[in-house]
Amino acid sequence: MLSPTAAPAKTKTNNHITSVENMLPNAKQGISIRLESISKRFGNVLANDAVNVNIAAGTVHALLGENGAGKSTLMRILAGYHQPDGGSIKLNGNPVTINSQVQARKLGIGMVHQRLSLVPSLTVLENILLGDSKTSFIIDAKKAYKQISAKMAELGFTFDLFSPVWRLTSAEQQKVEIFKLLWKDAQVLILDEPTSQLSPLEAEEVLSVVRDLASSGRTVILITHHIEEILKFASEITILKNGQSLSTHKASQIKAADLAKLMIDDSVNQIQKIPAKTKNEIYLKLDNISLHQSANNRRLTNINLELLKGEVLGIAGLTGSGQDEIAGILSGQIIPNSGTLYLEGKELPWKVLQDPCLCAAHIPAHQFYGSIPSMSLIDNFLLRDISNKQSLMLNKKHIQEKAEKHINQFQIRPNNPSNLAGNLSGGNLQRMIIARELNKDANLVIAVNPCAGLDMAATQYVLQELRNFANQGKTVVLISPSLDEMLLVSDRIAVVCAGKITGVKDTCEISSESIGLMMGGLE
Amino acid sequence: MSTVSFLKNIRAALISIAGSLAAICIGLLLVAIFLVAVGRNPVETYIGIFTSAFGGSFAITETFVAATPIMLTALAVAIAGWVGLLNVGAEGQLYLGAIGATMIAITIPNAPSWQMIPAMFVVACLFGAVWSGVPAILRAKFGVNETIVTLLLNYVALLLVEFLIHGPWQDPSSSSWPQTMAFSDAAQLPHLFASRVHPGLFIGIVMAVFFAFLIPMTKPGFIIRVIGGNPKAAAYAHLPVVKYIIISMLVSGAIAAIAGFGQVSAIEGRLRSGISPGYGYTGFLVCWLARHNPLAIIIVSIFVGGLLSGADSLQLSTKLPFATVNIMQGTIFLTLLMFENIIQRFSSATVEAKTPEANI
Repeated sequence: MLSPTAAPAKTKTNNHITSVENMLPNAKQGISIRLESISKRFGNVLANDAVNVNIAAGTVHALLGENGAGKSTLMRILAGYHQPDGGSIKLNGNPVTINSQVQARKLGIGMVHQRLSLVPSLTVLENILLGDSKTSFIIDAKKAYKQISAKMAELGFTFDLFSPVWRLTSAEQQKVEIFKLLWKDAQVLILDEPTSQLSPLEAEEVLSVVRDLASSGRTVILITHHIEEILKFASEITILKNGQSLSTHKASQIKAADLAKLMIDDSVNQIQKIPAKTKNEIYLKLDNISLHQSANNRRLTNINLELLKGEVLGIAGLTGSGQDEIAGILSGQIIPNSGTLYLEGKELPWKVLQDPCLCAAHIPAHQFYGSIPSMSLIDNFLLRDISNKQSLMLNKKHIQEKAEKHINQFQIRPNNPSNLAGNLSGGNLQRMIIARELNKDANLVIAVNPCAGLDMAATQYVLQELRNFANQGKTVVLISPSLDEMLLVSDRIAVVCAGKITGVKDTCEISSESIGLMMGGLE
Repeated sequence: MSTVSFLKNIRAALISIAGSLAAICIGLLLVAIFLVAVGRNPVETYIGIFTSAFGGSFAITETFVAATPIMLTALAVAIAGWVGLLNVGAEGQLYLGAIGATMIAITIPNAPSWQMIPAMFVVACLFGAVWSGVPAILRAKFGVNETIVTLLLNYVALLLVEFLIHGPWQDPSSSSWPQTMAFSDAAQLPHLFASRVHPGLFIGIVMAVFFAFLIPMTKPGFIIRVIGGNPKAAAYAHLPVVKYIIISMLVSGAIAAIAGFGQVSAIEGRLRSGISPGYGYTGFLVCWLARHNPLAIIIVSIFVGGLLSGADSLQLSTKLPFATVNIMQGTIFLTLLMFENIIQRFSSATVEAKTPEANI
């Protein structure tokens, strides 16, 4: 553990410093941050459970953890979006209360969110001026341009200020976001998965900018899943797990494999795997699939994939590597540009996958695609029963009984079937979608991030249900950002990288470390 | 359904009705300010409108006559609205229906009524469907905004009527009047109850009841609700979104066209440019006032039809221009729209508070 490098406040003895004026003299020397037993609860979910993190001034500090470990919540508390239920925040040793984003900004804290908040149609210059309180009613573009380009030169940023944002690459957009914070004199930069949408080369580019900012005295907090990146660019790493801070390490003193082991969730119980009776019987085969929007924008290249009966196949990969496209093709949402589909050995047209009777049970990546907020739970359950079998008249009583059964089975709250889906919380909406899909009579289940927003018990239940499907001789495809989920239930794991399959391995033969290397295209 | 949720629904409905009534009262109060400003007694004016709309059998039948095209065009707007489209073109589709009916009436003037009326009806519907089919296909295949296309086609439709009645279809016997020749008796819809009420009213009511049944109770109705509620979810469930969007718009245009057919065949007996004082637009407002509910459309269109037929008496008795009714209609519509949010806030306050979405 590291001791806080709390730069002693020059002359201040006042313990409750919250005003900007008092903070700024210290800010010039960098700000150290001490988060002490921060707790935050959302409904039933304890997102942060007495988290302690010490962050030294002028360093890149990484927060590592699985989805739902509480990283983003912790950082949103620091940036003033949420108020903690308990605990304290100290900047340079002085306790502060951060009630709002405005106050966080005054204290020199700025956050770049996972989803960028730039206006694509405006120029870079306009985007920078947009959130700037210094901008007057009449914009003096010339003066602003001079000031901004001076600041850019000082900090080593290069991008075209007059280009509309949509023309920039993702890396450049990320840099514009970072610069926006610096333009507002941020001394603490919180970056929430800045590289999730970037290629490895672009990620390198952005992170070296970030490292330079830290060496010039700013404090950077980096949230990411990429262990390699962290070891290369961060100086310290705090691991969060199930809402708690597990440990802090110096990047120079720990290996990638040890980090991976530490962050993995071992509290999930073992799931009973029954080996398929009819081993190697192919249910569905994708033969030489390619998908591209244009010649130089290839999203999938020469994918060959065999889905066996009675297995769970995990598809692993960094965000945007092609796993979503494969799910889209299997669920009939996307028709590839080339390639052949074989279903139980027969070559069939792609339209087969769209047939409401035959199509797969599909838990989509985004809840919005799988639900109708303005309609009742009853109607939302009915959504996937609208096949040729459904008679012209809706049998209200039958539908309602079915809905009540699903609601009880998956403990959806509130449990009134006439309630609108739009009134459900994220976790309950996810339960609704899972309840509907897992009760669909299908031979193929495609589950994309099925446990998003679910607590431990529900996660366990869903994973067990997916496993049960396979145990019954059906085929399950699981795509999840959590490798552990996939390792737990899958028989085989296919790894995709940049639209290609870099390997298909039996789960018993591989470790999360080797998958990590394959995801990066290194093995 | 549990008694609690049933009572909650009743309560929400009551709040909604009370809110609408309050909004109408506030609208009338605002118009009263205007009436006082121009030196009229608002109470007398309102009583005048009411008696000339609903006082006596003649008044009531005239209200129904005005309500007929409004009801049909409002239904047309609602059908498009259920699949999430904004059909602002009911006025144009109404005129196309009038053109279609007229074309049959003047090309085969000697056909007997049992051939003439069905032929006029079918061709009117076809013409209206073509007029709404163009924006439907542009929307479904190319993503062109249907609101703009339907709105602009209204002007094309009106100019098309002008062209026909000034040109090829102008009545040769009265060269100074821009209108077609009078329809033969066989081409005129029968009147009912010794008034100007015609079968169009019943087509409207039957249609409304039919949709009130179709939308909540049947499979196609369900698909329509899903597409209107979230087209992405409809695509996810592999529902035929494009097909339903196009069919809905075709039906929408055809129903608006029935309004035009009724106007030329039962009311005017010929095609003129003034067959609709903006019924299509009024229908649009009525549909929104009725919140796209087909049964509410019946009631609201009779209410608004009463306002319109009361306008005549307003002109005669108080010497106020016809536009006063438009002002009244517009003001009430605005206050209702403003109340929409307030009503929703009130009724959702009675529902359980939302649990905050965990963002972790």
